[in-house]
Amino acid sequence: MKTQLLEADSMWLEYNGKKILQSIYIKMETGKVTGLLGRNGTGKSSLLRMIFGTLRGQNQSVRINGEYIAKPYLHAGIIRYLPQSNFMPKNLKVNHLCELYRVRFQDVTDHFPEFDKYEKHLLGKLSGGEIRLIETLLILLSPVHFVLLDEPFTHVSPLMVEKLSTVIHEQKENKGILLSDHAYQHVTDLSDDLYMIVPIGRSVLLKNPEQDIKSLGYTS
Amino acid sequence: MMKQRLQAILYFYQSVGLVTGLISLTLWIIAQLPLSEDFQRFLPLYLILKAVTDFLLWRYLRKHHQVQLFFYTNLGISELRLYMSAFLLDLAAFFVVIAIIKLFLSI
Repeated sequence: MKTQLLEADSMWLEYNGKKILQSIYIKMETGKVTGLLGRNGTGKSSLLRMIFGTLRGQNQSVRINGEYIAKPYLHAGIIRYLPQSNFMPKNLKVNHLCELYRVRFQDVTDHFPEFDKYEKHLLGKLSGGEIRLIETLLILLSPVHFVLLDEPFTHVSPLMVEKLSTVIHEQKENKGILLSDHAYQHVTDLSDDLYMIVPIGRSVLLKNPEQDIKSLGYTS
Repeated sequence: MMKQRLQAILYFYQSVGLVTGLISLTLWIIAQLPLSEDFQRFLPLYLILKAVTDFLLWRYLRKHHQVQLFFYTNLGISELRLYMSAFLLDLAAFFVVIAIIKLFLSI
Protein backbone atom coordinates (compact mmCIF):
# COMPACT_ATOMS: atom_id res chain seq x y z
CA MET A 1 0.00 0.00 0.00
CA LYS A 2 1.25 3.45 -0.91
CA THR A 3 2.27 5.55 2.07
CA GLN A 4 -0.19 8.37 2.78
CA LEU A 5 1.19 11.60 4.14
CA LEU A 6 -0.63 14.28 6.13
CA GLU A 7 1.10 17.56 6.91
CA ALA A 8 -0.29 20.28 9.14
CA ASP A 9 1.60 23.46 8.48
CA SER A 10 1.46 27.14 9.51
CA MET A 11 -1.28 26.45 12.02
CA TRP A 12 -2.08 29.75 13.68
CA LEU A 13 -4.79 30.18 16.30
CA GLU A 14 -5.69 33.12 18.50
CA TYR A 15 -8.58 33.63 20.91
CA ASN A 16 -9.40 37.26 21.74
CA GLY A 17 -5.92 38.32 20.70
CA LYS A 18 -4.22 35.66 22.82
CA LYS A 19 -1.91 33.47 20.79
CA ILE A 20 -2.55 29.74 21.28
CA LEU A 21 -0.76 28.26 18.27
CA GLN A 22 1.54 30.23 16.02
CA SER A 23 4.17 28.11 14.39
CA ILE A 24 3.16 24.52 14.02
CA TYR A 25 4.34 21.88 11.64
CA ILE A 26 3.35 18.25 12.18
CA LYS A 27 3.76 15.36 9.81
CA MET A 28 1.82 12.10 10.03
CA GLU A 29 2.19 9.13 7.76
CA THR A 30 0.65 5.72 7.43
CA GLY A 31 2.76 3.14 9.17
CA LYS A 32 3.67 5.49 12.00
CA VAL A 33 2.35 6.69 15.33
CA THR A 34 3.03 10.37 15.85
CA GLY A 35 2.98 11.48 19.46
CA LEU A 36 1.94 14.95 20.60
CA LEU A 37 2.84 16.23 24.04
CA GLY A 38 2.34 19.55 25.74
CA ARG A 39 1.30 21.01 29.05
CA ASN A 40 -2.34 21.77 29.82
CA GLY A 41 -3.67 24.67 27.79
CA THR A 42 -0.97 24.63 25.13
CA GLY A 43 -3.55 24.03 22.39
CA LYS A 44 -3.17 20.30 21.66
CA SER A 45 -6.91 19.66 21.37
CA SER A 46 -7.38 22.81 19.30
CA LEU A 47 -4.61 21.65 16.98
CA LEU A 48 -6.27 18.26 16.53
CA ARG A 49 -9.58 19.93 15.70
CA MET A 50 -7.86 22.22 13.21
CA ILE A 51 -6.27 19.22 11.50
CA PHE A 52 -9.63 17.43 11.49
CA GLY A 53 -11.20 20.52 9.92
CA THR A 54 -13.89 21.52 12.41
CA LEU A 55 -11.95 24.43 13.93
CA ARG A 56 -10.74 27.30 11.78
CA GLY A 57 -7.73 29.22 12.92
CA GLN A 58 -6.36 32.53 11.67
CA ASN A 59 -4.20 30.49 9.34
CA GLN A 60 -3.82 26.82 8.59
CA SER A 61 -2.77 24.44 5.90
CA VAL A 62 -3.52 20.74 5.97
CA ARG A 63 -2.11 18.80 3.04
CA ILE A 64 -2.65 15.18 2.20
CA ASN A 65 -0.03 13.80 -0.14
CA GLY A 66 0.86 17.41 -0.90
CA GLU A 67 -2.69 18.44 -1.79
CA TYR A 68 -4.35 21.16 0.30
CA ILE A 69 -7.63 20.09 1.86
CA ALA A 70 -9.66 22.70 3.73
CA LYS A 71 -11.85 20.33 5.72
CA PRO A 72 -10.44 16.79 5.74
CA TYR A 73 -13.36 15.38 7.74
CA LEU A 74 -15.75 16.01 4.85
CA HIS A 75 -13.87 13.56 2.64
CA ALA A 76 -14.81 9.91 3.11
CA GLY A 77 -12.06 7.52 4.10
CA ILE A 78 -9.51 10.13 5.15
CA ILE A 79 -9.67 11.00 8.82
CA ARG A 80 -11.50 10.42 12.11
CA TYR A 81 -11.10 12.13 15.46
CA LEU A 82 -11.52 10.95 19.04
CA PRO A 83 -12.34 13.99 21.20
CA GLN A 84 -11.36 14.19 24.87
CA SER A 85 -14.82 13.48 26.23
CA ASN A 86 -17.60 11.07 25.36
CA PHE A 87 -19.27 11.93 22.06
CA MET A 88 -21.30 8.95 20.92
CA PRO A 89 -25.08 8.79 21.54
CA LYS A 90 -25.75 6.70 24.62
CA ASN A 91 -29.11 5.48 23.34
CA LEU A 92 -27.75 3.65 20.32
CA LYS A 93 -26.76 0.00 20.47
CA VAL A 94 -23.12 -0.96 20.20
CA ASN A 95 -23.65 -3.03 17.03
CA HIS A 96 -25.54 -0.13 15.44
CA LEU A 97 -22.67 2.24 16.23
CA CYS A 98 -20.26 -0.24 14.64
CA GLU A 99 -22.43 -0.35 11.54
CA LEU A 100 -22.56 3.45 11.27
CA TYR A 101 -18.78 3.74 11.64
CA ARG A 102 -18.25 0.79 9.28
CA VAL A 103 -16.37 -1.23 11.87
CA ARG A 104 -17.09 -4.95 12.18
CA PHE A 105 -18.19 -5.85 15.69
CA GLN A 106 -16.08 -8.96 15.27
CA ASP A 107 -12.99 -6.73 14.96
CA VAL A 108 -13.84 -5.12 18.30
CA THR A 109 -14.26 -8.46 20.05
CA ASP A 110 -11.12 -9.89 18.41
CA HIS A 111 -9.21 -7.35 20.49
CA PHE A 112 -11.54 -7.21 23.48
CA PRO A 113 -13.42 -10.55 23.77
CA GLU A 114 -15.03 -9.30 26.99
CA PHE A 115 -17.16 -6.94 24.87
CA ASP A 116 -18.89 -9.84 23.13
CA LYS A 117 -21.82 -9.67 25.54
CA TYR A 118 -22.42 -6.00 24.74
CA GLU A 119 -23.24 -6.39 21.05
CA LYS A 120 -26.90 -5.44 21.43
CA HIS A 121 -26.52 -3.29 24.53
CA LEU A 122 -27.21 0.42 24.51
CA LEU A 123 -23.91 2.28 24.82
CA GLY A 124 -25.24 4.10 27.88
CA LYS A 125 -25.59 0.80 29.76
CA LEU A 126 -21.80 0.31 29.76
CA SER A 127 -19.45 1.72 32.39
CA GLY A 128 -17.56 4.98 31.79
CA GLY A 129 -14.32 3.15 30.99
CA GLU A 130 -16.06 0.73 28.63
CA ILE A 131 -17.78 3.58 26.78
CA ARG A 132 -14.44 5.30 26.36
CA LEU A 133 -12.88 2.10 25.04
CA ILE A 134 -15.70 1.45 22.57
CA GLU A 135 -15.46 5.02 21.27
CA THR A 136 -11.69 4.75 20.94
CA LEU A 137 -11.90 1.39 19.16
CA LEU A 138 -14.54 2.63 16.73
CA ILE A 139 -12.28 5.50 15.75
CA LEU A 140 -9.14 3.43 15.71
CA LEU A 141 -10.61 0.57 13.66
CA SER A 142 -12.39 2.87 11.19
CA PRO A 143 -11.59 2.39 7.50
CA VAL A 144 -9.66 5.67 7.16
CA HIS A 145 -6.05 6.65 6.51
CA PHE A 146 -5.56 8.87 9.56
CA VAL A 147 -6.88 8.93 13.10
CA LEU A 148 -6.45 11.62 15.73
CA LEU A 149 -6.67 10.37 19.31
CA ASP A 150 -7.11 12.94 22.05
CA GLU A 151 -6.60 11.41 25.51
CA PRO A 152 -7.53 7.82 24.56
CA PHE A 153 -6.21 6.43 27.87
CA THR A 154 -8.39 8.63 30.09
CA HIS A 155 -10.77 6.60 32.32
CA VAL A 156 -9.25 3.36 31.03
CA SER A 157 -7.84 0.80 33.50
CA PRO A 158 -4.11 -0.08 33.29
CA LEU A 159 -4.80 -3.56 31.89
CA MET A 160 -7.02 -2.11 29.17
CA VAL A 161 -4.42 0.57 28.42
CA GLU A 162 -1.97 -2.21 27.63
CA LYS A 163 -4.44 -3.93 25.33
CA LEU A 164 -5.36 -0.64 23.68
CA SER A 165 -1.67 0.08 23.11
CA THR A 166 -1.43 -3.23 21.26
CA VAL A 167 -4.36 -2.23 19.02
CA ILE A 168 -2.72 1.12 18.29
CA HIS A 169 0.52 -0.65 17.43
CA GLU A 170 -1.33 -3.06 15.10
CA GLN A 171 -3.43 -0.38 13.44
CA LYS A 172 -0.47 1.78 12.50
CA GLU A 173 0.37 -0.82 9.89
CA ASN A 174 -2.18 0.76 7.56
CA LYS A 175 -2.94 4.06 9.26
CA GLY A 176 -1.27 7.23 10.40
CA ILE A 177 -2.10 7.78 14.06
CA LEU A 178 -1.72 11.02 15.99
CA LEU A 179 -1.72 10.31 19.71
CA SER A 180 -2.04 12.91 22.43
CA ASP A 181 -2.32 11.94 26.08
CA HIS A 182 -1.06 13.05 29.48
CA ALA A 183 0.09 9.47 30.09
CA TYR A 184 3.28 10.58 28.35
CA GLN A 185 5.16 7.35 28.98
CA HIS A 186 2.62 5.45 26.87
CA VAL A 187 2.80 8.13 24.21
CA THR A 188 6.61 8.03 24.03
CA ASP A 189 6.64 4.22 24.03
CA LEU A 190 4.15 3.99 21.17
CA SER A 191 5.38 6.86 19.03
CA ASP A 192 7.69 6.67 16.07
CA ASP A 193 7.90 10.46 15.94
CA LEU A 194 7.21 12.72 18.86
CA TYR A 195 6.31 16.41 18.83
CA MET A 196 5.90 18.75 21.74
CA ILE A 197 4.00 22.03 21.78
CA VAL A 198 6.00 24.58 23.72
CA PRO A 199 5.15 28.18 24.70
CA ILE A 200 3.90 30.04 22.86
CA GLY A 201 2.30 27.64 20.43
CA ARG A 202 5.38 26.30 18.67
CA SER A 203 5.89 22.64 17.75
CA VAL A 204 9.22 20.94 18.31
CA LEU A 205 10.13 17.57 16.85
CA LEU A 206 11.92 15.72 19.63
CA LYS A 207 15.14 14.09 18.43
CA ASN A 208 15.95 12.57 21.79
CA PRO A 209 12.57 12.27 23.57
CA GLU A 210 13.77 11.14 27.03
CA GLN A 211 16.18 14.05 27.28
CA ASP A 212 14.12 16.66 25.39
CA ILE A 213 11.03 16.08 27.53
CA LYS A 214 13.02 17.10 30.59
CA SER A 215 14.96 19.92 29.01
CA LEU A 216 11.74 21.46 27.65
CA GLY A 217 10.24 21.39 31.14
CA TYR A 218 7.50 18.82 30.51
CA THR A 219 8.83 16.62 33.32
CA SER A 220 11.22 17.35 36.14
CA MET B 1 -21.11 5.83 3.36
CA MET B 2 -24.24 7.63 2.12
CA LYS B 3 -26.43 5.11 3.93
CA GLN B 4 -24.58 5.67 7.19
CA ARG B 5 -24.79 9.45 6.81
CA LEU B 6 -28.51 9.30 6.12
CA GLN B 7 -29.08 7.06 9.13
CA ALA B 8 -27.08 9.45 11.33
CA ILE B 9 -29.07 12.46 10.09
CA LEU B 10 -32.35 10.61 10.78
CA TYR B 11 -31.07 9.71 14.23
CA PHE B 12 -30.24 13.37 14.88
CA TYR B 13 -33.69 14.39 13.70
CA GLN B 14 -35.27 11.82 16.02
CA SER B 15 -33.37 13.32 18.95
CA VAL B 16 -34.57 16.88 18.29
CA GLY B 17 -37.75 16.22 16.30
CA LEU B 18 -40.09 16.06 19.27
CA VAL B 19 -39.07 19.54 20.45
CA THR B 20 -39.06 21.12 16.98
CA GLY B 21 -42.33 19.38 16.07
CA LEU B 22 -44.00 20.70 19.20
CA ILE B 23 -42.76 24.19 18.34
CA SER B 24 -44.40 23.89 14.90
CA LEU B 25 -47.70 22.67 16.34
CA THR B 26 -47.67 25.38 19.01
CA LEU B 27 -47.16 28.07 16.36
CA TRP B 28 -50.00 26.57 14.32
CA ILE B 29 -52.33 26.46 17.34
CA ILE B 30 -51.46 30.06 18.32
CA ALA B 31 -52.33 31.08 14.73
CA GLN B 32 -55.78 29.49 15.31
CA LEU B 33 -55.27 26.26 13.35
CA PRO B 34 -55.13 27.72 9.82
CA LEU B 35 -55.90 25.41 6.87
CA SER B 36 -56.16 25.96 3.08
CA GLU B 37 -55.92 29.68 2.17
CA ASP B 38 -55.40 30.67 5.80
CA PHE B 39 -52.48 28.27 5.95
CA GLN B 40 -50.89 29.93 2.91
CA ARG B 41 -51.12 33.29 4.68
CA PHE B 42 -49.69 31.71 7.85
CA LEU B 43 -46.78 30.09 5.98
CA PRO B 44 -44.33 33.05 5.63
CA LEU B 45 -44.66 33.97 9.32
CA TYR B 46 -44.34 30.29 10.26
CA LEU B 47 -41.14 29.90 8.25
CA ILE B 48 -39.60 32.99 9.87
CA LEU B 49 -40.52 31.92 13.40
CA LYS B 50 -39.38 28.39 12.68
CA ALA B 51 -36.01 29.61 11.43
CA VAL B 52 -35.63 31.75 14.57
CA THR B 53 -36.58 28.97 17.01
CA ASP B 54 -34.38 26.42 15.22
CA PHE B 55 -31.51 28.92 15.27
CA LEU B 56 -31.94 29.26 19.05
CA LEU B 57 -32.02 25.48 19.40
CA TRP B 58 -28.82 25.23 17.31
CA ARG B 59 -27.14 27.82 19.58
CA TYR B 60 -28.21 25.85 22.65
CA LEU B 61 -26.92 22.54 21.32
CA ARG B 62 -23.68 24.18 20.16
CA LYS B 63 -23.11 25.64 23.61
CA HIS B 64 -24.07 22.62 25.73
CA HIS B 65 -23.57 19.56 23.52
CA GLN B 66 -20.78 20.58 21.15
CA VAL B 67 -18.69 17.47 21.67
CA GLN B 68 -21.61 15.25 20.55
CA LEU B 69 -21.36 16.85 17.11
CA PHE B 70 -18.14 14.90 16.55
CA PHE B 71 -20.30 11.81 16.22
CA TYR B 72 -21.65 13.35 13.00
CA THR B 73 -18.51 15.11 11.75
CA ASN B 74 -16.68 11.78 11.97
CA LEU B 75 -19.22 10.54 9.43
CA GLY B 76 -18.44 13.46 7.15
CA ILE B 77 -21.55 15.46 8.04
CA SER B 78 -20.91 19.14 8.62
CA GLU B 79 -22.77 21.03 11.31
CA LEU B 80 -24.57 23.14 8.69
CA ARG B 81 -25.66 20.10 6.72
CA LEU B 82 -26.86 18.39 9.88
CA TYR B 83 -29.05 21.30 11.00
CA MET B 84 -30.31 22.12 7.50
CA SER B 85 -31.30 18.48 6.99
CA ALA B 86 -33.12 18.41 10.32
CA PHE B 87 -34.84 21.72 9.47
CA LEU B 88 -36.07 20.40 6.13
CA LEU B 89 -37.19 17.09 7.62
CA ASP B 90 -39.07 19.03 10.26
CA LEU B 91 -40.87 21.15 7.66
CA ALA B 92 -41.74 18.04 5.68
CA ALA B 93 -43.11 16.30 8.79
CA PHE B 94 -45.19 19.38 9.69
CA PHE B 95 -46.67 19.67 6.18
CA VAL B 96 -47.55 15.97 6.20
CA VAL B 97 -49.33 16.36 9.57
CA ILE B 98 -51.26 19.39 8.29
CA ALA B 99 -52.20 17.51 5.09
CA ILE B 100 -53.47 14.56 7.14
CA ILE B 101 -55.53 16.85 9.40
CA LYS B 102 -57.00 18.59 6.36
CA LEU B 103 -57.82 15.26 4.74
CA PHE B 104 -59.41 14.01 7.95
CA LEU B 105 -61.58 17.11 8.28
CA SER B 106 -62.72 16.92 4.66
CA ILE B 107 -64.05 13.35 5.02
